[in-house]
Amino acid sequence: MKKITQIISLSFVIFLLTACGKDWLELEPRGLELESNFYETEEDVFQALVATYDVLQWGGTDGWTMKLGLLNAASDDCYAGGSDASDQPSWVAFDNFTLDPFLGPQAGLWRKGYTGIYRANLVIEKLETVEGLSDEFKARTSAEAKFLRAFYYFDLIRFFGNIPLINKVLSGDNFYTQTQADPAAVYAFIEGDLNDARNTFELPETLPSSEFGRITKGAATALLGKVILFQNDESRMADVAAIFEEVINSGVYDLEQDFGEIFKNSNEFGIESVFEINHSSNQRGGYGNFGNGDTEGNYSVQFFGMRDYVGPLYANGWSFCPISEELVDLMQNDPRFPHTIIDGNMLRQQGASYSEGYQNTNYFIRKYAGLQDDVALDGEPALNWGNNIREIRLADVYLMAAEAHNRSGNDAQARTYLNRVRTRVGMQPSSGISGNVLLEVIYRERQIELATEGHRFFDLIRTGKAGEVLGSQGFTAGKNEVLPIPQTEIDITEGNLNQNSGY
Amino acid sequence: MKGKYLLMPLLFACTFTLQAQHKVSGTITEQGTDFPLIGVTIYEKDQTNGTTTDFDGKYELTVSDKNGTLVFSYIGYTEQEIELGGKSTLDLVMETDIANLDEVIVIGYGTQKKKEVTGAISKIKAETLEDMPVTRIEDALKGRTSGVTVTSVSGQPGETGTVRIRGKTSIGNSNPLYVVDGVVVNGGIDFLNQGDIESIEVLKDASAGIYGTRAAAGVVLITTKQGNKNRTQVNYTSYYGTQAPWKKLALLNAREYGILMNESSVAAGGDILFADPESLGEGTDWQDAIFNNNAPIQNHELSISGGSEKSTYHSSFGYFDQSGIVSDAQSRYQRFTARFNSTHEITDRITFGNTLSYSRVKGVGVSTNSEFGSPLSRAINIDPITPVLETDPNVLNNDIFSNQAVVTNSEGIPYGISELVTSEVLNPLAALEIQQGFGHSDKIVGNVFAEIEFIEGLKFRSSVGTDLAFWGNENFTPVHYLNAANRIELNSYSRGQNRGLSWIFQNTLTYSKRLGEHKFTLLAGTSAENNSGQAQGGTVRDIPINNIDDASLTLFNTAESQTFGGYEYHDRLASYFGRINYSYAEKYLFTAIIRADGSSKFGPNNKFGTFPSFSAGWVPTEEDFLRNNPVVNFLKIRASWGVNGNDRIGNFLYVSTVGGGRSYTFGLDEDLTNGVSPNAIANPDLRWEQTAQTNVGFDAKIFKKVSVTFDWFNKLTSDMLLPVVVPSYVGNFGPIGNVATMKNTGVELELGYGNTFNGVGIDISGNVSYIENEITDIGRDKEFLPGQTFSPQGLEITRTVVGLPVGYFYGFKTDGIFQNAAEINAYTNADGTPIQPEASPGDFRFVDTNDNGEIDPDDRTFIGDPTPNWTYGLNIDVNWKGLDVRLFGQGVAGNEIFKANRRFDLQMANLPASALDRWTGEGTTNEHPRLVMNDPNKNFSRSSDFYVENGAFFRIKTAQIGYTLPQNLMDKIGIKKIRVYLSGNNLLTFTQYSGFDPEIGDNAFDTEQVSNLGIDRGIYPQPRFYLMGINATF
Repeated sequence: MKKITQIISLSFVIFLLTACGKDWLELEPRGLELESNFYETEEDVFQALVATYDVLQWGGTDGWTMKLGLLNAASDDCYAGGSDASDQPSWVAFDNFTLDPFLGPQAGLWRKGYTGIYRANLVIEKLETVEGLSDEFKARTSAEAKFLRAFYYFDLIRFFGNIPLINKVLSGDNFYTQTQADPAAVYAFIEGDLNDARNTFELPETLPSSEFGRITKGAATALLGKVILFQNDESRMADVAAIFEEVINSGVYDLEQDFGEIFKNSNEFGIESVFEINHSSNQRGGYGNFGNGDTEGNYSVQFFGMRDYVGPLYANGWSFCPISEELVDLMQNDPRFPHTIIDGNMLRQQGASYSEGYQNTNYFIRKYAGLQDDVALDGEPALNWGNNIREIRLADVYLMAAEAHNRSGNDAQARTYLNRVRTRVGMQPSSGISGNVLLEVIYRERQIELATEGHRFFDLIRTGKAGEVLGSQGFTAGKNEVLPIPQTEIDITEGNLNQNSGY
Repeated sequence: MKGKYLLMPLLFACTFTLQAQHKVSGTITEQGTDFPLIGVTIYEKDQTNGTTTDFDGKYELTVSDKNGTLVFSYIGYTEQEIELGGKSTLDLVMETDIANLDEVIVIGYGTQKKKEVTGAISKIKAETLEDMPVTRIEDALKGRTSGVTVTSVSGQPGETGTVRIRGKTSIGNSNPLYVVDGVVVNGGIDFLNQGDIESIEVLKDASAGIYGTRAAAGVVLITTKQGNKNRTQVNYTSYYGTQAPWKKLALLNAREYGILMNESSVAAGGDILFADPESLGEGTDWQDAIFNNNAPIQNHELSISGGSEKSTYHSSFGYFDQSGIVSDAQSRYQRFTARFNSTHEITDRITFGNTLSYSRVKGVGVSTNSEFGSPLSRAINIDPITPVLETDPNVLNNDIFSNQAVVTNSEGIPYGISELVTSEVLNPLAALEIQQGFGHSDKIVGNVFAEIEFIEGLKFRSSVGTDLAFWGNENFTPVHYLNAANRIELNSYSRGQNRGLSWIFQNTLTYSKRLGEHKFTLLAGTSAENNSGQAQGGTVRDIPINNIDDASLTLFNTAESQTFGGYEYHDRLASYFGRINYSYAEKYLFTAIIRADGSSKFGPNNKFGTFPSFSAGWVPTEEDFLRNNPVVNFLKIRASWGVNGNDRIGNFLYVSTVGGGRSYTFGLDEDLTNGVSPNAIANPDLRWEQTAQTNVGFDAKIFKKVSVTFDWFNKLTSDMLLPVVVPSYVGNFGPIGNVATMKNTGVELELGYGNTFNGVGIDISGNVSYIENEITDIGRDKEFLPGQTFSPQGLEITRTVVGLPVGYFYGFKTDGIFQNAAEINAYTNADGTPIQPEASPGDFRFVDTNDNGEIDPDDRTFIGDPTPNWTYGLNIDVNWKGLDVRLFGQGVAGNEIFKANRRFDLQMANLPASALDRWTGEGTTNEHPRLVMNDPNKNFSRSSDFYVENGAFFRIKTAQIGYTLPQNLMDKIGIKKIRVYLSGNNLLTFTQYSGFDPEIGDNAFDTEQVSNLGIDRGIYPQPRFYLMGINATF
């Protein structure tokens, strides 16, 4: 009997000693949403897509790093400006090409681009793993995510030249092991994404006004044409022209009759707009949430404004990107001048005043000028400018199409598109010119039509004119076509990334 | 076999005489463990016959007188004389000698004879604590044992000390694990009554491995008292005392302030600020106004313990009340405790028992070490011209006093408002007046256990322990105007109520067996622990009352004026552990421990961690060549190695959580559409930090009177948790990962001496520890970890870098003061251009450490170590008849303090009196720079070695004189013992440090702050107190 009691007791003991199972340690957190189980419905995955769009608005990653302002400063359209040389040293460095691996806007631009790519990759992966999504939702969301991924890659490849190509969410094993891809491979990847996007039936051609800002077939097609054009492969120019023809002939877009209407806040998502980045003035952003996209404003607008301005129409700003005398001279008699350039001297004559900032020329950007009527009513006004960025507009498409036709031998069609841009503002149509002469005229037209919209710098690079045009500014050909790779990135990867040549 | 052990008595055989013979036999066992004691010497008093106990602790002795007296003696145990009274069997339990090597040590899930312990374990016994009042149990460890550093975070009542066992083990949480009666206790041990503590053991090395993933920073085991069988005892201890600050800072009085501010203003090209400084007189002594020179402290503990043959109990009640020396009403700590412990022998083989304690704490406190509004920081920095209370009618006519909600004292007189010093530097008394609130907690800690002995030596023990805590706070801020920057137009009342429950279910199987010379104890066990809690709180604004007593959450105007929030936490731990203790003839000792812990804090890849440790010991004094050596009575050489873990990180850090707000505006209406993305990269491989420790040491007793313990250790902490820096191309922030490593190496020495000379008993014990801390890795691409900053400017004052101790002071080096323009011009770089062209005579010469020809932020370097290399303690007890005198002192050396108690950014802030010795002309001083308002050379607005001072100190913690009433008197009135004493605490502090108190503990709460050890922002100092106490046993 005693034996039995002991055996029972011992069995009980052994049970107690081994009772706890592994499941017991699996706890579900309360009050936290996990990545592993958050994405379950269409709405959840759509929110992941929204986060991918979000990055389009970023301008405050690792300092003030708005693409629009930086590209203006780097080009011959504008200087860096600001209050003095020490206001934004990284802008000045990009303007003067005194960039080095530590100094310049590279860290922010790099992080912004790859954050967008990461979020796009995540969306694309979730579309494959989340169950119960409708085919239509999957198709359109995938198309939008791929467009955005292509867009971020296109910026990165143009800014940096040699970049890692990452097409999935990285995990711990490969955080530090990425290497730079052949630029041709990156371009091929971008083209692949854009072709996938525009060939998706569910990607709409037009949007209801409540969806303005989302990707359309026209945007994907226009960006694809631009991406191929930028690769400078003469053998593909006919293809490029054909792609732009699709946009032009889609019937969705037209030129604004009045050039001055294009950049008005009242005319956002206008008929000419092919791809537009939305900003908002009513989201109450402040310095507390400044940085990674928690504010929805367009910081460039604040940067471009006249410092301490007192006078009619305009709000004051921080006097960045004063317009170069060269651009002023070039546009002196152009009907687009008053819609492109603010003549500070004239304002002063009319009684307005402002402080002269660094590199002041008394000429300021008009297209993205902040107007008193548009000042945000809540939050920190400087961070809440609602001016949308017209990333691709039809005039740009016409000029790219003209270039592609010219470079593929169809000068007649090239002149047609060039002249649509010219005649819209009442300029004489070009006639009788062809070949390289025509190409130069198209380039000149691009410079004027698209001045201060952030296209000029990359146009100079891709056409090989940067050394000649920007040399006096400090540009070194063979080096400054791209930014240095951020040094921290090279350090962290312990040399898996190579610095761009010359830096 | 028995014969071998009967050799000893044979030695005595030749002296046997033929008398009326009487045989006595019995068994001698050890107190606490019930192990038989081998080799105990037994002899008849005043005779020559004797014997020793055999392997089973048995003896047999033929005595000459059946009513004679037997003497039992054994090294390490109290010698006992027992009158035979005709008995023929006499069993005895030998009690260990106080301060002896052979006491019983609690080692976690069991006990062991200290003689056989192979790890580095320190023990503090009840006797040590009995008559030495401490305000918190952590303080009982202070200076008592080597390798344990306890630094008071401040002198505020109820404030915990920073307890570091063998240094700072982690950049994160380095607090030891507290285990009270087998229950792992979270949230501190302030619920314990000093008088309830039987012993405190500190596991310092691999021996802590039995607690696995939480043992890296050491384990403190606290055992509470149980009753004695068949003996009822009532104990009452009490003390009452008064506390006062022991030091005031020398600051400028109003006259001096006026003169120096004038000088400073004029030097900067400004105006004379005070036309007639002499007329300002002494002005206000803000320290006098804020310090409380007569702060009461009292403690009462009543315990009743006893038992029958089968059951014992110990119950107690305690009340403790301490006021602070800064402000009467706003710094106070009150605690009520109750305890009931019991054990019951249900059968010969089954024991059942419990421990149960309840505590209730109410405390209010002020900010203790902050430049942003602690009362002492304000007292140091506010000008001496502003009065405490404003009575000047000219000032009272000012709009502020008529239109604003200025703060008044209880008689309605408004407090003075400084117009000279602003920002957070308010009138400290006014600021305290509007600080209304308190914190409270109710805590129940206890366990129930049953122990079954299945067969001889095989015991099963099962216990369930809980730690249930309710805590919260209430705060009310009335409408007030303190100065232009500190005013509130809407009052607010907030209340928080939180509840936490942790339970622990532990089962162990122990088998002890002796086989010839081999003795071993095997332990196998499991433990399951669940820890969860909820917090919630709410705030209402603009309620129609004006003090906290009337405040209620029901009083609110609109839904918008109330806010509510909360959170919850939950974690679990499942553990399996085993231990082998093996001893061969008490000569060769070996211990192996293994513990596997599974934690919910880690992901599936690292749910379980396994922690092994091994230790061995050799007792040469048991070898023939050293046995019975007259000099070395006992020697044990120990070595151990083991790996312990640290799991104290937040929950669910291994998974990636998502967050909203990554929004985009779509559409013409710019509708904000919420976007969601992961907050950071997940780290499924996240694991515990681990500390591998090697320890070599010895314990010795020499000349029978001197005990020595020495240890050398090397602790390597790896996998410390820090944010992982990932390349930006990853596209998101890095996770928390196992990144950094650090090293602690040190030696420890404990010495004890006890003797009696002509009835004067002397007991001296001391300990000293030396430790070096070094960060060895902080991960990829991090040059340093940022640390502490000072002032609103965020002046960086500490950094943590590889190769130096954690939280090192960081700033510029100064090299004296420029005495004249020639010296400034002569201080040039390689090209001959002056390094400090902007400097003027009287300014600091900063060292251009990087030789780049200018003084820039890159010249900052490492200027002081907050971590002491040396800590030591000394205890002297002298007693003669009923009188006793005790002295206990404790100190540190090899550290610096960063004296950041003046707000350099507020130019009109008061100055220390040392500013009177400022530079005023060539040759006046090379120490203190000139005073100039805008400080163009940044003499004061740079972190520099000017602020770094030697932090070494030695403090007489306790000086006590006691008297125990004579026993014969006590016997008459039926009282067992009464001792009365007078005690002075913190009577003397020897230090060169010029601030309030050199003792400034580390209470940094996260890895981002790393450590705030040794940074004086106007620290709330330790009080000096005088106590009278009584300890009575009935």
